Formats: sequence, C-alpha cells, structure tokens
Amino acid sequence: MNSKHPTHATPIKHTLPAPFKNLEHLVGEWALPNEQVRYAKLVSISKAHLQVFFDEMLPQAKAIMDFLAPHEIKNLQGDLLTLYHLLVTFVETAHPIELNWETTNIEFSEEPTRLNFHGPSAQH
Amino acid sequence: MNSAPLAPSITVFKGDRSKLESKVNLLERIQPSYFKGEVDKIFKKSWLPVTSTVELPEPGSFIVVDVPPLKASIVVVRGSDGEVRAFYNICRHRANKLEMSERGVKKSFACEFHGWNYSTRGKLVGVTDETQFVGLDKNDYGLIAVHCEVWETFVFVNFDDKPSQTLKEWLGVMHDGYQGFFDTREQIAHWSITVKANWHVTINAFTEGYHSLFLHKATLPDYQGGNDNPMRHRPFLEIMEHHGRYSAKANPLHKMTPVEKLCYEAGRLMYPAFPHIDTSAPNFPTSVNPGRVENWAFDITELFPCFVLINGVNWHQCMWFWPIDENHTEIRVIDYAYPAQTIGDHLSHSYFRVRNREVFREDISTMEAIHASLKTGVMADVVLSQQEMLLQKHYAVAKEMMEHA
Repeated sequence: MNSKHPTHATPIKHTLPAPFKNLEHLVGEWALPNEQVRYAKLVSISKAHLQVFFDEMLPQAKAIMDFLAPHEIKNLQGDLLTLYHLLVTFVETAHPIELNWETTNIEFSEEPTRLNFHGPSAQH
Repeated sequence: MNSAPLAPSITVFKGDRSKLESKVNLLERIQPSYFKGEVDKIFKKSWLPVTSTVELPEPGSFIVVDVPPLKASIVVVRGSDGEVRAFYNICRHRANKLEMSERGVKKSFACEFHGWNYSTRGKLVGVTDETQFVGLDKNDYGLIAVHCEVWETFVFVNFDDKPSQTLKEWLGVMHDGYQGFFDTREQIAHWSITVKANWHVTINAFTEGYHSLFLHKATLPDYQGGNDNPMRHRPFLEIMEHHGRYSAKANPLHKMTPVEKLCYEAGRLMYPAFPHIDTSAPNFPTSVNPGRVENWAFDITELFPCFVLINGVNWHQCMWFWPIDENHTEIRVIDYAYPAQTIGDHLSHSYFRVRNREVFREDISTMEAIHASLKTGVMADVVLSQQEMLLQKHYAVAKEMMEHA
C-alpha cells in the first residue's frame, strides 16, 4: 500500500518551525493526522469557528507549502510533520468557507457519521 | 421499443437505442422475489470488477473482498508466479473462513482452525497431522477458484460455472480502448456506506448529469455548463451491449478558489479543475474522451451491473453498488490518482479527495428518500429523459438478462 507517508505512531509535536511560530496556538486543535479525524472535526464545528482558522492560515499557506516543498513526505518528522498536518487540515476544511456554505456540513447530506473510512487515506 | 426521434441537444448519441424505454417500473424491482431472480440471472452471470492490481503490487499480495449479492467472501491474490487469482475464502477442511485480515502480503494462507495451509496459487500444501486423514489426496482439496481475469488494472470475477462470454467479449469495444491509461496510479481515498435503498436506485444517482445543476449547486457551482451549455447536456453518450458511458464537458469559465489554486498549482489539476489534454493525438486511448469532445472534463462509464468508473486526466474513481438485499446497498468508493512525488502532489490529492467526497455525500442524499417513496407503492414508474439514457440502458440490459438468462 502507500508507504510514502510517515507512520502516525509518531508522537505529535506541539511546536512549529521558527518561521511559523505564530501559528503554534492552532496546533492542538487543527494539526490533525488523517482524513477521518479532519472530516469529523469539520462536521462538528460551526462555520464561524472554522472561519477563524481559515483566516489565520490562508495568508501563510503558500509560505508553508514553499517551506515544506524541499522535503519528502516520508521523511517528515517532529515539527515539520506537525506543520504538514496543519496545512492539510486547512486544505481539507477550506471548502465550506470558499463555497459560501451556510454551515460546515452539506445541507441535504446523510448523517455524517455513517461514512466509513478505509485504506491509506484513513491513516494520513 | 424506442423509435422516437431525438430531441435537439448538443449530445452526440452513439449505439443501438432500440431496446431502451423512457418509462421504467421501479416498484417491481424492489420486491424480494425480483431481487432473488437478479442474483441468479444477473450477478451470477456477469463479470464483476472487485479490486485493482494497484492493491496487489507483489507476489503474495492479497485482498479479501466481500461480494454481498452472492453472500461470498473471496481472496484475490497475486500468486508466487505473478498471476492474479480469486478463490472462495473457505478452508476445504471444515469450511472455516480462511483469511481473516482485509489485506496483506503472505507466502501462504493458514486456517486458524486446524492449520491447513494453502499456497498463494490455491494449492493445499500442508495438513496438520496428515496421517490421520486416511486416503486424503491434497490435490483434491485446493481452494475453490472463482473465474478471474485482469483487464487494464481492474480485476474481474465471474461466479458462473461456465461464463457465457469471455471478459473481452463482455467489455466489447472498451476492451482495447485504454492502453495502460490507469497504470501507475495510487489509492488516495476509500469510503463506504450502507444505505437503505435498492441497488438500482443507488447506481442511478451516478450515471446521469441532469442532477448536477441542482443537487451539486453547493459543491460544484461552476465546473460544468457555461454560456454555451447552460443545462449541462452531455456532449457524448454511448450505449453498448452491456455497458454505457458519457463524457462531461468542462466549463472554461470555471473559477478556481484560492485553496484550489494553491493546491493545483503545487501539484496537478484535478476535479473540479480540468487540464487541457490533446485527446486527438494519434495514440491517445480511444476510450478516454471517446467522443473527442472539446473542453473534455471526464468520462462516466457504467460497467453493468453495479460498477461505475469515472475517469479524468490525472485521476479515476471506482464505485461499487453492491446489493445486500432488495432494500439495502453497500456503496464502496475508491479514488486513484497519479503518483505523488512531492508535498504539492499530496496536497493536490487531499484537495481532490475532499471535494470529491462532498459531492459523493450529496449524491447519496436522495437514495433513501426515493426508496421509501417507492415502498409506499403509490408510484411504480419513473420517467427518464434522453440525458438519462444510461439509466434507460441499465434497465434494458437488466430486463434482457432477467428474461433470457
């Protein structure tokens, strides 16, 4: 399967690399390690709450991407891995803001907890 | 019999429409006796895709797949000789379920009950305390094989004793049309959900684009359509002997959101942004954008009876609609994409899978309501437009198999 990703038995570091220290207060809540927990987070919060995270991340997202770009994902560890998880959570939760949804969930969708996650994306 | 002229649209229709009907009785199809017939006459007689060779990268790689309409668990394994085979997941000693894990890599399969051991080619190679089985010939007790063939990266099985068609015949013109297009992909998403709805209702939600203007207005406001195609008509639609497909046209005026742009500039363009690709090049696979439409976005192919393939340039999606009974369907979705080399590629994958997941969640939102309405018995028939012609095809093929199998 997909062995390119680091294992998430790795303890989560609550610090970020020096250029992004100003985002460290987001780590505990938003540096989430896999699609399933990012999805669960998304559908459990208000849009106003998400908006605060989005507004803090958007101005620095490109700089984070450029900072991480020289690295291979399988080698990410420590604060680099935490920074990556923060960025991926931003990417995977941006759509309700960018598409102007009323809430963080789809208006006519099925009960969100009924969806099962499997395979590599359930682990990273 | 459909001999009516086609209404004006941009759609180029291809194939034999003579057996299609625009009115379909769904009420009869949600009855238990009808479903029993479908299991015997459709699911036991069709070539069914069950997994991808992407999941079986090396000798000994295996995956266990449940096939709900047949109440079967099968082990699909790449043998020590590199061949992909499928076996019932049953130990030949006392019929215990042989392999309990979902996937892995093994040199052999050992039953947890008494330790009978099978090679990756299905041969019985070890019997615990063998001398106590008087006259036992291990050659008679290999795993029970299921007909299995590989096409492109797709692994198909057929539960019929003697399939009436080869997989090549079953696939028809599609068979030679992809020429390795799906090679080198990696899995980037896998979801499942069981819904209280008949399997026809569930697969029908994914084989027409008529609903996209309404159901997907929150998730896909501008990815198709545009000034020259406001009703999002399919530019190309083809009816085949068993299967059907159409292409969707991208909206050249699609505006990427800031995060979409960020991800897709760091990786490759994926849905709902569609890169230009020269599909008219002489060696380009004939089944990718088969109508050679301009501003091509993606193709949707229904592989009868219960599989939908959606393919764009850098990704494809596999969807199974496995009936459990006449009232319940297990939907499985696996997304594959170009292999990620960089962080930007991974972010591109992440953005795609989430947009795609939310669209999927919208698509499944109508199924249980439809099924509940049908169960009242008040309304038996549904009426289908020519933009829903793949549904007409689906029911025509099902009807023919039910009558002639």
